[in-house]
Formats: sequence, structure tokens, C-alpha cells
Amino acid sequence: MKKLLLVLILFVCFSVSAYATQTAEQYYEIMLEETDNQTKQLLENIGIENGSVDEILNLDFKNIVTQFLALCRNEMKTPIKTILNAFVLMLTLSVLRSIASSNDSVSELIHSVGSLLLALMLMLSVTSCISDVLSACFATADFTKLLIPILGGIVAASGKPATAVCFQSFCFSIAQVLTSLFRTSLPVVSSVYITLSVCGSISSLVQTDRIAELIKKGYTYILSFTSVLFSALLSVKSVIAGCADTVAVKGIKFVVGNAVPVVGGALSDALNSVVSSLALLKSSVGILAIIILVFINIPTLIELLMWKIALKLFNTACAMTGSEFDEKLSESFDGLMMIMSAVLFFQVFLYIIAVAILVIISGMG
Amino acid sequence: MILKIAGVALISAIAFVLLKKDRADFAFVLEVCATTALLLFILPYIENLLEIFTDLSESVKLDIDFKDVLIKVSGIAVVSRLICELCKDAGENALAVKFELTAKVLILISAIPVFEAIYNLITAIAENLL
Repeated sequence: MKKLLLVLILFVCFSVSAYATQTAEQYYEIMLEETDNQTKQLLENIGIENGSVDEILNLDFKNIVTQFLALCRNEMKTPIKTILNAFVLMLTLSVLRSIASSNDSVSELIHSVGSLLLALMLMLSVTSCISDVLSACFATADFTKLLIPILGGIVAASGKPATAVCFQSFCFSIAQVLTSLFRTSLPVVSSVYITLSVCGSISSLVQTDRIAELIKKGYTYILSFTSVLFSALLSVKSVIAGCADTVAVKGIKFVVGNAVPVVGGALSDALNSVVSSLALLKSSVGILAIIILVFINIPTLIELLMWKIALKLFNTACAMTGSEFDEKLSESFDGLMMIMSAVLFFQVFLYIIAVAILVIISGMG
Repeated sequence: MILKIAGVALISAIAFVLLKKDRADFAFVLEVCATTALLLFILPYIENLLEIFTDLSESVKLDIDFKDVLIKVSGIAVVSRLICELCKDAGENALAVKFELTAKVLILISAIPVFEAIYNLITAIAENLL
């Protein structure tokens, strides 16, 4: 009888382990399939092809740096080209202004036209940048919508139904809210900000750039506040749900341990093994999800970084040549890049924090 | 090149000073002629500037004719400066101010395509991405 029970327990333990391994591979496959081609290519380039834990553990740092530099090289072409053109235009207009008129008003008018041309030149390139940021936001939201049920399912299977329900409902609603928020607010804020900034930059008589600055600060403060609020709420809810789950699991273990004669203790230990294997699965899925989230956004973040560097260089060149208006204009575009970087960072960190909180909190107890 | 220009400018200046005492009207005509001659001297070299504008225009690929705007604004600015100085030399300060105003309006008119392009671009950002 004892031998039979031992065989039965061993069978249960091994069958659970095999099931977890198969599911893990399926989960990795689903997550990788749902990512866009660029992200897939990037992940393959750094050595993640099937998303297994071994691949993640054996990532080559040198290879990651090489890929990062290649991305930087690729993304810096457009900003540098645009800024060089802007610099040539600025110099030409400066020379023209100095020879064209002894009168300040004509000189200022030429400068205004020049600044408008510069603004037009920069805006044309920035439009594609805004489009890229929005695409990255939507890709992140789409991936998160796929990830939430996967993680929720694993968490629920590992004996944390309350945490799973709390995480799923909260993250789903946040993903929906963020997607609609960015879809509507980012183009509006960007166009209003840049219009006011350009108006403020072309003439010293108009100070609309201060309103633009206010909009930028307000938008970034709202994002920061929402981020803190989200993290705090999710942490508190997850801790409470985690506690409820721990009490429930301990209750089940107690009942199984005491109610089932002879094998109650062994079954209780088997339950521990199941929970541990699922915790491992959840961690590995969570880590792969975080890596994918980062890689969905990293090309756009690098693009924004390259734009910021190029605009800083242009700003320095403007300061050296004494073109105050052009300096203000480049600062405005730099501010726009900051808004877009804030949006991307906000979204990526929000989801990474959500996954990390889930992995950490539901791993307790 | 600069020596030729300097020579023409110097001879014109001497002739202008000599003529100014007895025939101020001729002196003014001489000044206009000298200015035109100086402009004609530098005309072939403006091509280099136009090449820069063309390269810039091709490189940027805007909806508007970037080169056209730059040439118009530059031309109006240079010609207005010359004419204003001539008017001032002739003692017609009021005319110089009026001409300057006209030049400013012309520069603004030349810049209208830029205003339109910026407006269209901002509207496109707000509409297409929404």
C-alpha cells in the first residue's frame, strides 16, 4: 500500500513538472510570436530565439552592446542630417541678415522667416518621430493585453486567484486607459506645444513659449503622478490579495494535511512543489515579458535620444553664433522630445513595475 | 575680383565728389550707375549661393519650394538695402522708409508658403495621428 502511494505521489510530482515545462515553452512561443518583426529581429540578434531561461541566462553582454551601438548608428542618420541642414540654413540666414539690412526691423523679419523655415525643416522630421512613439505605445499596449491573461493564468494556477483577479482587472483597465489617453493626448499636446513654441521663437514680441513650457511641465507632472498612483495602488492591492491567497493556501494545506489520513503530509508537500514550479515558470515568463517590453520600445527611445543629442549640438552651435531665436527654437524641439521620452518611459516602466510587482508579491508566502 | 570692384568703387567715389559740387543730379545718376555696375560684378558669384540653396532644398524635401523662398527673401533684402541707401543719399529719407516698409511686406508675402506649410503640418500632426 505504501509503495503504491509513493508511486502515485512520484507520478503526480513528475507529471506536474512535465506539464510546467511544456507550458513554459508554449508561453514563450506565444509571446515571441505576438511581437513585431523589428523586436523579433532584435531579440534574435542578442541571442533570444525561443525565450528559454537558458538563453536569457547566457546572454552575451558584448553582443548586447554591439547591437545597441548598431541601433544608435542606424537611428542617428536622420537627426544628424536634419541638424546639419538646419545649421547650413542658420549660417546662410545669419550672413544674409548681416549684409541685407542696417535696419533692425528688416533684419528681424528675415530672421523670423529663417526661423520659420528652420521650424518647418525640424517639424517634418519630428512628425515621423511622433508617429514612431505612438506606434511603440500601441505595440506595448497590445503586447500587454496578451501578457496579462498569461501571467494571470499562471498566478491563478499557482494558488493565488485573488492576486490574479486583482492584477488582471487592474492592468487591463490601465492598458485601455493608457492607450486611449496617449492616442488622443500625445498628438494634441505635441502640436499645441510646438505651435506655441514656434510662435514664441520667431519673435521677441510674443512670449507664447512660456505657455508651451507650462504645458510640457503639466503633462510630465500628470504622467509622473499617474505613475506613482498606479504603482502604489497596484502594490497595495497585490499585497492585500497576496495575503488573502496565502491564508487560503495555508488553510488548504492544513485541511489536506489533517483530513487526508496517512498521505496528507505528503500531499501538502506536493502542493508546495507545484506552487514552487509555477512560481519559477511565472518568474521566467515575467522576465521574458520585461525583456520584450524593453525591446519593443528601445529603437524609439534610441531615436529620441539621438534627436536630443542632435538638438543639443544645434543648440550649442546657435549659442556660439549668437542666434538667440534659433537657440530657443531648438530648445522647444528638445522639449518636445522630452515629452515623448517621458510618455514612452512612463508606459514602459508602468508595465515593467506591474509585472515585477506581480512576480515579487505573488512569489511571497 | 575684389581689386576690380574696389577700383570701380574708388573711381566712382572720386567722380561723385567732383560732380557733387556743380552737378548734384549727375552725381546721383553716377551713383546709381556705379551701384548697378558693382551688382553686375558680383552677379556670376551669386550662382554659388544659389547652388547652396538648391542643395539644401533637395536635401530637405519640403512641400514648398524652399529655394524659391530663400532666393526671394535674400533678393528683396539685398535690393531693399541698396535702394534705401540710394534714397538716403539723395536726401529722400521719407521715401527710404516707405521703400523699406514695402520690402518688409514683400518679405512677408514671400514667406506665406512657409506659414501655410507650417499650418498644414501642425494640422496633419493633430489630425492624422489622432
